[in-house]
This record gives sequence, C-alpha cells and structure tokens, in this order.
Amino acid sequence: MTGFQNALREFQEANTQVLGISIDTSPSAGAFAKSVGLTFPLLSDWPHYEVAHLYGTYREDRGFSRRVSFVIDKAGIVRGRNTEERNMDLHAQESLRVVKELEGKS
Amino acid sequence: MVDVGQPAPDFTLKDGDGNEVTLSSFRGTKNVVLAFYVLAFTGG
Repeated sequence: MTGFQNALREFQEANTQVLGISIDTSPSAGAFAKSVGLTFPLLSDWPHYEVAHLYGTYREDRGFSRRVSFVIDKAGIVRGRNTEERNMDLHAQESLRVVKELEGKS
Repeated sequence: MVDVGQPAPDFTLKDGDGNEVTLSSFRGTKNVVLAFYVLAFTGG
C-alpha cells in the first residue's frame, strides 16, 4: 500500500490518478489512510463489496477481496492487471511501468 | 475477473471523508490505477 504512496509523484507525472479500494468500513479506511499517511483517495467498498464483485476480485470461498490492482487508460479500458498476493510494492512498480508506457514516457 | 483489454466497470464510492468518487469522471483526462486492499487481514 505504501508502494503506491511512495510512487505517487511519479504517477501524477504520468497523468494518473491512484484510487485505493478497501472492503473495510469508510471510517476505518479513513483512519487507516491517515495513520499511514496516504494522500490518494481510499474508497470503501463496504458493506456490499459491489466493486469487488464488478471486477471479480471478491473471493466467495474466503469472504474477502483479493489483492489486485488494475490500470485503466483514459478511454476506460483495462490496460494492466496485477494479482501478486504477497507483495503490493510490485503492484505499484508494475502499474507505474504500464502508465508510463501509455503516456509514452517509458 | 476483469481482464486486460476489457472496459473497466464504472462505479461510485465514498472516500474516508464521505466524498463520492466516480471512476468515469476521470475519463478522457487521466489514467486510473485501482488498487484493491484488504486492510483488516493484513495491516496493509
């Protein structure tokens, strides 16, 4: 999670908005975001997990959302997807690579 | 799961301050990275 925060300036330079989505309640997500110093929006998908269902990241068998990130271009098309479960920092690195490529800055 | 090359489903959700954020509001102007988190289970 802090991987995205650490790279936030680079995402901004690549014309990219980072949005976090958590399945926790909105107040708890807000408190968490502040506690770790997040400056990008952390959105709450609680209690219905609508967005997790829309994107297919909700694990019915285990009752929670996977750690997945998507890169979406300006036309609203998915251009990258990361499903590495253990290391979210890799999501930030890989997402950054994709948006730089989209912006012709790689 | 939504795959590369597919349209990203639109949605509106609230942030920690209660402000609504809509995915399609960024269309035409910004790329968006959506990162799904599981705070309660991992601490980040």
